[in-house]
Amino acid sequence: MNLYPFVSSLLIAVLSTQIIGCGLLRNVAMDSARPILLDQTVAMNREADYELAQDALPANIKLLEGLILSYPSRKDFKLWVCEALCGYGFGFVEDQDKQRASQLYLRAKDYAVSNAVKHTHFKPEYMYSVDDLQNWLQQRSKKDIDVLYWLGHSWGAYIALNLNDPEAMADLPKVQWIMERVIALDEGFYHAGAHVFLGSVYGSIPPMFGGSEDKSLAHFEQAFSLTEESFLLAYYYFAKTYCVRFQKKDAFDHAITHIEQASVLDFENLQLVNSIAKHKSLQLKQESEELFFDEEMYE
Amino acid sequence: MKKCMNKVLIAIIIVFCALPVFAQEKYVLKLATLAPEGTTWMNTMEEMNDQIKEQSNGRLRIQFYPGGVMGDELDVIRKMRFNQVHAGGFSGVGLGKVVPDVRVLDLPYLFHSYEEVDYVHQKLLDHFKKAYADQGYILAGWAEAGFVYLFSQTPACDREAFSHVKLWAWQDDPLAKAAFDGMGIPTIPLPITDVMTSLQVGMVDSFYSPPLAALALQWYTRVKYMCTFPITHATGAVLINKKFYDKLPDDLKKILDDNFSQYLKILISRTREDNAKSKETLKKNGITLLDASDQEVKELVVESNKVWNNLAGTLYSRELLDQVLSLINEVRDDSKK
Repeated sequence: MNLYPFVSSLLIAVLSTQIIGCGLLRNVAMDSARPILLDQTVAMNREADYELAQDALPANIKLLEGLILSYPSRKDFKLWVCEALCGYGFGFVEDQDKQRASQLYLRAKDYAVSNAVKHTHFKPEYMYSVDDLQNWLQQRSKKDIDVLYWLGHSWGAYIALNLNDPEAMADLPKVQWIMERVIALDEGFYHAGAHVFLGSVYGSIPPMFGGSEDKSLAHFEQAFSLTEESFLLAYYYFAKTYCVRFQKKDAFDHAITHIEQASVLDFENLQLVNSIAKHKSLQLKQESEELFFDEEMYE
Repeated sequence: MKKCMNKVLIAIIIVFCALPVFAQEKYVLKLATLAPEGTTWMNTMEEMNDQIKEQSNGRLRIQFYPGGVMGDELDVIRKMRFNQVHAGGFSGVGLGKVVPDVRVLDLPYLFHSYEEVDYVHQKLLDHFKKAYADQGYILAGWAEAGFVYLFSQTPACDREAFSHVKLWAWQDDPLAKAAFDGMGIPTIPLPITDVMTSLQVGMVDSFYSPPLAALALQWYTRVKYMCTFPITHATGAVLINKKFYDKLPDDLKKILDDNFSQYLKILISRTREDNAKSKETLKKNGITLLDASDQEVKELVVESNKVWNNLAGTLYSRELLDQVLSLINEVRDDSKK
């Protein structure tokens, strides 16, 4: 009797059980470690020391990327790394090196797309089909909002730095649709980030290209209200886009003053992002003379 | 005592040596454009500005007002007249408000290749420099939006199909309406700001635009087809207020002239690359490219001839039209050899 087929089948069965068991154990272990990882993200958001955050974020990103390698289907890890990559790129890289920041945003977008494919029936080809993308968005419900938001956020951040690339330019309306859907599902999600995004888009392009003073202002006002004026980055973008584009010097000064006078420590979970907003607004204030045109001076 | 005298002497020498440096006046050219920050247009102009600052040792620089901060092209021309803004980037529509003759370069089905465009623009540069100077402007150099194509929701690449679509025409552009009317193609004149909404509600279902602009304006999301035979070539240029220019010392004038000449050529080349890439992007995003038949192209050119002749004497002189056509023929004859 040839026992070989039987033994080999048994061996495969035992090994499979072991592997599955090991996978289960690993997942159980990871589930119990999740609160620690979540706390790590919270701790980073509560970091008020700009330099410390700058030094610490890369390690966080690598830790999360390592975990994603081990647990590729975990939605939460990909969302966190997406947030970390976008935050690091925006806060510490893009003013010095736009190309490097673009790469960070693309990496974040890849994680966001992967999440969308795995958890929301998304297909990468939808990114090139107006009808498919819009249909997919219409089918999304509130439970998908985190996937939608970070897809829009990372994609939008990449586009903003690559307006000289026609392909990126073509993608802008797609991100606008994503952010409009986020607003329809939960407009306050991530500090009303979708309102800040759309306010910035309508406030930075000429009306001829689809910009709108009224729409920009309405989005920013809604963002201020939903966040109870605590999210300083909304004021920074308001000053940088709407106020400059529509030459509202008083509103610009008011927004910068609001950022300057707010204490980073006032809002515990926004300390890092508010400290970045303070840093950036300082630079914006220094450039303000060049941003506003005084007609009377030249009459 | 001698030490002290030496110090005074050195101080006096330093002060006198430094005086010419302090006496050198600094100039800021304020330039307005509709192009948003970060676009190829603005990136190229920023590169030029760095070069100008370096070559002039900081005595001349450009301050940009991008993204239409100064209003549309007509607002910028008004501000230039009052010397509030010193320079602007313009399309044919804005350029034509100062020198209507220049619209001859935007005539439908006139140019068939970049070679023809470049040859005619270069040959007519001095003519138009003088025409703008007479109106108080310096023509710093040509730019362009590129070849313009027709986009539609249903397939349209011949006059029969064109007459069945609801085609938008730019209300502020007298040439567009005259050209389409002359060719028997009905249009719906609207301001450019209303096009997107009109496409959304179905008031219009087709438009004309260079590929890059179709992406930038987001209009491409509302159509399915692009006809690959260009209906026209959209010219552009940078104008500088002559009052500002005349105040510049000669060396700064030269730096400004040389740099605009160099960088606007770079800009044209990059715009062409962007337009080529935009066509690929349009395809990637599901736009079907349609080819017009040779017969249709011939007939369109014959029809457009009538438009060119009808507009001669009103929008531009007959003499100028003949000169343009003769220059184009030179290129075509040359290419046949």
